[in-house]
Amino acid sequence: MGQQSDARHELGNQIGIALANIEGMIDGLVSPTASRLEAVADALREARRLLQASEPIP
Amino acid sequence: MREKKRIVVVEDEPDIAEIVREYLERDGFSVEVAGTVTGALDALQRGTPDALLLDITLPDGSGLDVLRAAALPEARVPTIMLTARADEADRIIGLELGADDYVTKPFSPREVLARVRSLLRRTGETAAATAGKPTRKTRIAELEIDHDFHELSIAGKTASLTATEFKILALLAENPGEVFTRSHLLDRLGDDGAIYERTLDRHINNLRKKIEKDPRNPEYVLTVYGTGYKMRRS
Repeated sequence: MGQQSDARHELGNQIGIALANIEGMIDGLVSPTASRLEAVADALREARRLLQASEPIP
Repeated sequence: MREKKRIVVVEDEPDIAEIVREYLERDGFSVEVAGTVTGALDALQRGTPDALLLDITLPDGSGLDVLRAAALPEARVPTIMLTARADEADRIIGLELGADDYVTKPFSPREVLARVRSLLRRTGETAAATAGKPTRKTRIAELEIDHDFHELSIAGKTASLTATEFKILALLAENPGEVFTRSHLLDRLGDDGAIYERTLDRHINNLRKKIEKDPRNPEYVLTVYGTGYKMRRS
């Protein structure tokens, strides 16, 4: 796996974490505690970092 | 009381795995989570689950190794792959290792739950049918399709189909001569087209390889050019 596809994979992971947590909260399966919300924010911050670090799309 | 259906979830991201677990458990399933190939193989060793959710990229190897173990004929496990790439999923389904469906990552846990329900509806009709109903069989030339037990025999010999292949065959065979468009077929398979559209032709090709003497000149599952597919009349 190249660096680019590693970053893509990791970006997907972070989005998956954010989405799973938020859907879980909406559906009442995950409590919206401060630490859970922080985990979502962390995932989105990491996703943003990965986007900023990646090559611009041609 | 009926025992809970057991599902093995193989996913290396613990947050995601746990949330998927919550969804499945709320739906009445018993769930076992594994984050590695080794853990997944252990879970399969403990007993054949009713379904397997399988991440392809795992820290200690490839989910394909798990799929090979899960696809053994004596322990055929209905499997949904979790993968970042649809083309990869298509390729794996093409390898006929027994994967029935896939969800692309990043996925929504709601979507995963919906796909699990759909898969078990397809495979679980077998169990529901054992409750003393008369057997339903369709015969077309050398094919004999047992709808209750999801079994197919060709000229008396049992053939092994995946859940999706069986469903396609059963649907066509129950309506011989009727032309099914792709979207009609997808609709009747009870799935939202987005997932299956890309793999339907692949499933048809795999089905033909199993039931046709010459898959290039099919005698049973016929292509109606520009329209779709149909089963020969008798």
